[in-house]
Amino acid sequence: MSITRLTEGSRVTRQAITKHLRVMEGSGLVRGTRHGRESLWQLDRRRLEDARRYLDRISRQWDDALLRLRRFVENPQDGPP
Amino acid sequence: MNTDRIQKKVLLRAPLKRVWRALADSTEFGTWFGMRFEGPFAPGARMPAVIVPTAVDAEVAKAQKPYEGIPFEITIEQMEPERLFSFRWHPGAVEPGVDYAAEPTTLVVFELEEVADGIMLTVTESGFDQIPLARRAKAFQANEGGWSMVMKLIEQHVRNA
Repeated sequence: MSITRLTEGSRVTRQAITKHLRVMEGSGLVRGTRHGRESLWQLDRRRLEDARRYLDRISRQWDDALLRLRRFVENPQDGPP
Repeated sequence: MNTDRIQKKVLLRAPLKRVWRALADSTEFGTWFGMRFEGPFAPGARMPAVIVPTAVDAEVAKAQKPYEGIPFEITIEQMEPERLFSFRWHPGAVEPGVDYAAEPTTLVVFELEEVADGIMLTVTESGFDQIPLARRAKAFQANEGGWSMVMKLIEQHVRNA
């Protein structure tokens, strides 16, 4: 998608959009390729998917950790002597 | 979808003092979490730790085994006795040889609330939006690599049996 299309119908300036896109490019969310006078931008879906799975994984790790904590505080034999 | 935070709630059927000790005492925290700390927790303290297999769950302990001895650090933020315990850390910072010091941290907050049946514990980890995407993707791939290695070991074991 080009900047011209992205800014269509919005009051955001081309400069502001470009700035945002550069930040997103820095973190790998979008990729820009030069086409003549214009840059075309595309979403990197794989990266987005990685980010989502990363959060899912950490979420599962917390589920496991809290189960361990529950066993630890509810079972006297798991506690310190 | 909120990509910045994870929140969990769990009901613990144990006295408030017991739950607080399991969080605020660095030895007890390490026992169920699977870390060994040097010294006691205190607000503002930087706590070096190493990963050790948890003493609470044999299966998880086995999964933690490959990471045993990997250094780790958490920085204690707040300690309000029997109410709130929080710290910062680098999530998933277990790749050997990577210096995470310059990267942003996430904030982990444990909140305790007395309810009729025990203690309602809420854990909130926030700040994920600040973690570089490349790091998040890499952490996932590293983990996936770990799993394929385990699968290979199981396969070998079954074949030799």
